[in-house]
Parts: sequence; C-alpha cells; structure tokens
Amino acid sequence: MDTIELKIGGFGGQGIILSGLIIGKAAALFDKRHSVMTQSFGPEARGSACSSQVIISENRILYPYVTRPNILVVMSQEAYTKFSPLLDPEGTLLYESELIELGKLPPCARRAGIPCTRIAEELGRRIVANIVMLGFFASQTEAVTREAMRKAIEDSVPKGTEKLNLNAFERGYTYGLSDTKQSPVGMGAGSGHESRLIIR
Amino acid sequence: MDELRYPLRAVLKSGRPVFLRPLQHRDEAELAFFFSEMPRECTEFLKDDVHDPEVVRGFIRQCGTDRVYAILALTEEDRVVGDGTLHMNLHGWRRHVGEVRVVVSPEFQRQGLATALIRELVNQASVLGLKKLEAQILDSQEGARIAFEQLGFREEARLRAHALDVHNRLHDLLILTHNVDDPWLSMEILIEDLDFSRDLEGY
Repeated sequence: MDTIELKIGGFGGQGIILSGLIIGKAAALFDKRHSVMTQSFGPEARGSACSSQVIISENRILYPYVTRPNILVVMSQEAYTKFSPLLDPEGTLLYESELIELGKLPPCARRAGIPCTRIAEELGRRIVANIVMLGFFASQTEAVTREAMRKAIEDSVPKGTEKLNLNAFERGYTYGLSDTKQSPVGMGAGSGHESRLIIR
Repeated sequence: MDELRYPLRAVLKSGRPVFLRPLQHRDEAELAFFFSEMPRECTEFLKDDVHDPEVVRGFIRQCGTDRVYAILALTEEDRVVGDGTLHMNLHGWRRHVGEVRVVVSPEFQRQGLATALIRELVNQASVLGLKKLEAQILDSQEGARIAFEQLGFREEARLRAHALDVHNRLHDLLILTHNVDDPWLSMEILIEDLDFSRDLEGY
C-alpha cells in the first residue's frame, strides 16, 4: 500500500494531536516519506472531542484530508462511535480496550485493543497513555518504523520525560507483538478479526 | 528497554561525541582509572575517597541495585570521562528523594557533559517514581551550578562556611533541589495547548 490514511480520535487532554504530530514527524523526518497532519477540535474544554488525521505516502500528497481512513485509532467511546463508520471496510481499528465497547464493524475490518490507560498508570504517569498507544500502533501496522517513532517521541516530548515516554512506547509495542495479550473484543462486536496490517 | 536507549550519543560544545550508558560490572578498571586521573582538588568535596580502589569496587558492587543508579560518559575510544549517580533511600521519610552526584573529567568540563549526565538522571528519577531530587555543590562551583540550573534545579538552602578546602578556605554548601513533576507539567501543558489550542470547524 503506497498511501496510508490514519485518523486518531479521543477526548481533549489525551494527547490526540501530539500523537498525530509524532506519527507525522516519524514518517516525514525519520522514515523519509511524505506526510501531512491535520487536526480538528471540539469546544475548548477538558474532555471534549478531538481528532487528528495523518496521511503517509511514498509519493507527494496532493490532497491533505483523510476521506476514508484505513487505520483508525480511538481512545474514547465517543470517537469510536463517531469515526468507526468511516473506516475502510478492510481497514484496521486500534482501540483503548478498557474505555471502549465495540459495536459492529465491517466484516473484513481488523481490530486490536490495548488497555493503554491502565498500562500508563502502571508506569506511574497516566499522561503517557497516548504514547503506549503509539507503541501499539507501531507494532500493529508498521506504517512507520519503530526506530523512527522512538526518535520522533524523543524529539517531541519535554526534556526530562524522554525515558519514561520511550518506556511507555516500548510497553505498547511489546504488548502489540504478544498475541496472547490481545484484549478480548467487547460485547456486541462484529465479525472482524484480529491481525496485523503490514504496509510496505 | 534500556538496551534500546543506550548508548545515548551526545555531542559536546567542542563537537566531540560522547556516549552515555549505565554502569556495568565490567567497568571497574576503567572507572578506577578515571578517578585515579582526577586531580585532588576536583575530588576533595566528593563524599567518598574515589582514589581508593576499594571505594570504586564498592561502587561496582552497588551497580544494578535499587539504592544507586549510575551512568557513565565514555569517549569513542571507550575512555570514561564522566560519572553520574542517583542515590536513593529505600525507606524512611526521604524515600521520595533522590540525590544526584556528577563528576566530569577536567578536560571535558564546561562542554555540556554534566548537563547531559544530570538530564539522564532526571529522566531515570521519573522512571523510578521519585518526586524530588537534591544536589549538593559549593558556592565556588559555578559550572556545576549552571548545569543543574539549566535542568530546573534551584537553590533551596545554603549552609554557610560548611566546607573547608585543602587550602583551608571556607565555602558555603548549596543544596539545590528539583521537582521531578515539573517536566511532566510541561508535558501536560504541551498536550493541552495542542488539544485545545484552536476551535476549528468542529469535530
């Protein structure tokens, strides 16, 4: 697949925009591909809806907006409800497995969940939940390389927090590589299946 | 996870690269040589007599324990040119506090190496869940003070005429402290600024 359309959704304060920035930076600066990130916001209050969109391509990107994401990353129930109908029928859904109860998905859609908030709390900082999710994203999709993601994280977070952020990334990454730790699909789930999406 | 992060490359102000990595048991000879080459006036205020090989052996024994986290700075030729340690109290009323100690070879001072070592120890403090860091320096150690202050350490106490140097001159002892949560506050602000910075066309 030459072009990846990615949408990340959650609520304000979860680091949704930072996640998009990091992925875009990893792709463009460190993997030397083309990348565009756009963002949108709800009302300016903690907990309000927020999303970011990233396009990654081997070629120049002529249209910057995501129309049909082939990867959807959601960190809140509201974002899942709102964006899952947009997911490409053969796309991949990555979700916060303890905050989201899945509904029906297109039959061919792949899905994988991670309790990234709980893992972040185990690491001592709930605020790194989005970075745990980024590690999971890197392991599940290979849309960007692990090394590029690590460099982009180190380049984007405040000094003095790099190490714990990278630990959070690695926790998400190794969780994603361990099939036995995959979260069970929530109640009422469709017939989607769990697998990795390899793009390249 | 550490094996992916290390060795951590840092380029000094002189343009010279150095590599940071945790102290390992195999480093005893190199570490002992590093300390043996240090002039006495650079080590007289350290808490241990680092010119004593038995003391260095003690450092190595503590390596990998939960009382001390030690990191070395090495040249491309694997020569030790700096040593940073984070000392922890496992119990008691200081269990949330870590003490930072840094020693840098004279030829590598004022090049940002101490800052790189301290930054790595601040990072480790977050990983270990410490809340506060402490460092003790003398009023005459201007370079060390700058290095610590660049990373958010501030003078919290000053013990007047508390240290006596080899020339019988008295010095004030400064106790610098750093709140480990401060960089995380910056991360919260970063996330909030990004997530709530503008109200565009809606969600």
